[in-house]
Amino acid sequence: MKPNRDVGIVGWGVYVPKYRIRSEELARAWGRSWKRYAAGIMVEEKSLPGIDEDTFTIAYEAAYNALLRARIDPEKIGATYVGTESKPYAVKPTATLLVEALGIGGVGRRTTGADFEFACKAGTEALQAVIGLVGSGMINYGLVVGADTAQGAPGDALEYTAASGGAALVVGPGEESVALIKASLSYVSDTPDFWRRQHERYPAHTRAFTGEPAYFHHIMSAARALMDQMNTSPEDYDYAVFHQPNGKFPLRVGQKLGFPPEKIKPGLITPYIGNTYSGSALVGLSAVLDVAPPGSKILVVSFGSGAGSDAFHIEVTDRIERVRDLAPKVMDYVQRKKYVDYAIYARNRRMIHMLKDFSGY
Amino acid sequence: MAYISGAGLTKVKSHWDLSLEDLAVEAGIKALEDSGHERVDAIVVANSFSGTANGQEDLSSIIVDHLGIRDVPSFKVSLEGASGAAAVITATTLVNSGAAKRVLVIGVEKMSDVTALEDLTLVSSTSLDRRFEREIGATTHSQHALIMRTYMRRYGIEEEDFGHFPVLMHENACAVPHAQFRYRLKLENYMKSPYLAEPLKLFDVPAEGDGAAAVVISEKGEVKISGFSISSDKVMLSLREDLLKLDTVRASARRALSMAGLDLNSISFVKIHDNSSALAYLQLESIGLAEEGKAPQLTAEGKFSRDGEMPVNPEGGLKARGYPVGASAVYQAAEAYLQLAGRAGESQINGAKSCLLVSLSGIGSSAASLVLTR
Amino acid sequence: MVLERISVPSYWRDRKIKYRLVGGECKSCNRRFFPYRRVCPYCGSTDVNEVNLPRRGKVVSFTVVHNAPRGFEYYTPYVMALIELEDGTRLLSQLTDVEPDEVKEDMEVEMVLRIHRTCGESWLIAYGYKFRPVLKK
Repeated sequence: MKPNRDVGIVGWGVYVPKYRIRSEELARAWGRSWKRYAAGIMVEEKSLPGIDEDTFTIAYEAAYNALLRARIDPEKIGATYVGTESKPYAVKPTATLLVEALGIGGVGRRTTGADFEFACKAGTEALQAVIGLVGSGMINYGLVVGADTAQGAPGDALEYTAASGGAALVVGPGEESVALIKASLSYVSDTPDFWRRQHERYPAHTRAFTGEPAYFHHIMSAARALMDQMNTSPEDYDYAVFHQPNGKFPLRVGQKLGFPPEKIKPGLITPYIGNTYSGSALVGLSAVLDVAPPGSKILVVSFGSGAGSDAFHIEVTDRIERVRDLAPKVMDYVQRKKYVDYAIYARNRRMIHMLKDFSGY
Repeated sequence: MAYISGAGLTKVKSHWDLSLEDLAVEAGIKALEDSGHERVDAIVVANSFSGTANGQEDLSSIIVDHLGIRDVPSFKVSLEGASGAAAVITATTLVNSGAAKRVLVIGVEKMSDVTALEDLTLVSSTSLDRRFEREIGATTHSQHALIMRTYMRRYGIEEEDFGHFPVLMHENACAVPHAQFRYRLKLENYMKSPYLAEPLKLFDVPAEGDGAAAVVISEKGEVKISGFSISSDKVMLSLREDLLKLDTVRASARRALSMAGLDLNSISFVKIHDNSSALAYLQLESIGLAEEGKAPQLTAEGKFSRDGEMPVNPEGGLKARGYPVGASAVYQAAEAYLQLAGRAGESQINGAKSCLLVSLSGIGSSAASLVLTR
Repeated sequence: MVLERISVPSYWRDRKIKYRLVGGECKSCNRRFFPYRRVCPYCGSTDVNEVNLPRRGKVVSFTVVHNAPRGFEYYTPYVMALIELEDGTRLLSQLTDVEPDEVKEDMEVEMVLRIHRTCGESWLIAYGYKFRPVLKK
């Protein structure tokens, strides 16, 4: 899929909460030996939100940072989309809160807005929608956020990696972009590797089934199809960012596709903070934009369970150096941390409730 | 001219057996009997939280009804901790203007029906700015704490120095039958009391207590209401020019004394609104009884003891006599009346002929001053 | 307790101020204040404009709240601070992302948007400004 006019990223921003819990501590809570899992996951610790944070507050700061780099008046934004699987409201888009908090669309509120849902690829498919709106000339700028406070079921294997964080992109005309999005395509199927029923708190998943038929099949299919369409091969790309549910899968899928680790590691953030779900691929892309020199080519392939993959061919322009330092970078947030134990983790994640009507004293 | 001609008080405690109107009636009847049982032309009720703590609005009608009185005008006057003073001033003005000959003023507060501490803290904090103080997490405790901390840093005062005031209050209340707490407080126990909002501790503030007090204001009586004034300022602490200067206290005290034709030298005792130890010190300084930053030292030295140079809160103040919020300034007036009439018993200040009563709403967003003379 | 749930219309009315730190600038006396009001609290003039206040400032004084009011009991201990923004405007705010014993007077802080209250599982979530230690100078 290619837009009718040049479209690209005008600004990018991320947010990761300060708090971390070590995998070892998670294992301890459930009487497990962390050593069994360590090598397979390559995630030593993950981020969790503070007690006053949620997907909206995360999305807000990521978007605020993206606007700092984009340097455009929020009044000019014509679309606001948030991709997440942990919306604060099942009905009421996080996008409406962002519009109000950032002053998007001006007094006339001239913006379209909604939340997208597709497991971990909700953010990238929102990106595709905005590329379409900008690329067709219907709007000039669009805001996309992928963010989550992922729900890890207590005692479940995914608890080690279900993390919190998000990234935002301001998409606009190619002439103003720090990175052009040349093309995108998706591969979507009915592959039920991981889902969450309407009223359930935590998702269900199928362990190994989420590997070959889901993650690897969809990413590889979308990646190959895009490279086919663009007539490119792994050698043409300087960076490859894949959806990162743990520290290992991106390296393995990269290897299968022919990408060496050096091209993948700059955009591999999960080993530091866990899997930010709808933030995953976009946080990885942001980490690459934090360092990539002008002229760099980036392949981004997300994956959302259920399942689907969105692939993007991105080329960095020389405008990027002017704005890189205007907002905090991924590593600024990664390095800001405070460790908590399982009790505080359970409290912050609202897994345990205080009974309201009693007195706490 | 208006005079106090009788007073009635209930003990301050958690009155599990008495409702809000029961308390008001008890104090009201005592005051009427004390003043000689004549009919009253109007009733003014002072109360702060009957709507939120008791679910009862139209309180003055309720109380008039429960007193068995018919066909009198009634008013509910609400200025948080200064409600009682505002009620006395309302009654005084009715008498001074000739609109009434005898007015019964009843202050009543009952918050013990709110059992959960979180709900009590919420109700007590409704006098803060709701939208930009309370709803973002502030409480009366946290506001007092900010002032306490600012005071400590500006004048180099330690936490322990704030304990002198509650210790003095407890000492005074030992002689007062209607007081809530009648035990001596040791400074070390003050220091060990838990933090409510650092550095403010449990013993820096009054406990919750129910109670009612009443006075009869008439054209004649033993004690004259010689001066009165209410001042107002910004409610939000963040808008005030100087956190440690209570302009409302300074202005209202000055005007009330001037109206009475007196100065501090001719005053026998002072009652202030010690809704926290820090605010007590600020009031002493704003009235002019201590230079800025010196109130703690003067308290420790005994200047404000009952047998000191200028007795302050001879009945134990809000901390030890107790603090039924909307009623507290009527307690001040009733106690002051008994002092000036020579009927204060063990807590009597010999030769007391005049006094200055100061009460606050919130953290001094308004302040009321009354000057009573024999 | 009826006061526990926030009033939706009231919250909605204040959302711009609470999300974007909108203050007032008096054209008569040139002072700024928070939040925006129709009448200048300093000189009484009604010639007041809305202004987006600076998002950075420093801590002037603070306290650590242990006795929370209903609705905030989930968050204790939390820090309430009197903050002076870069333009001299003062406001009261919670601090976040900081331990109580890390807070000091004159600490540089910046505005963030956080949850003030969740009001249980079914009612509206109240968001608004808080301040945290500056992330990056």
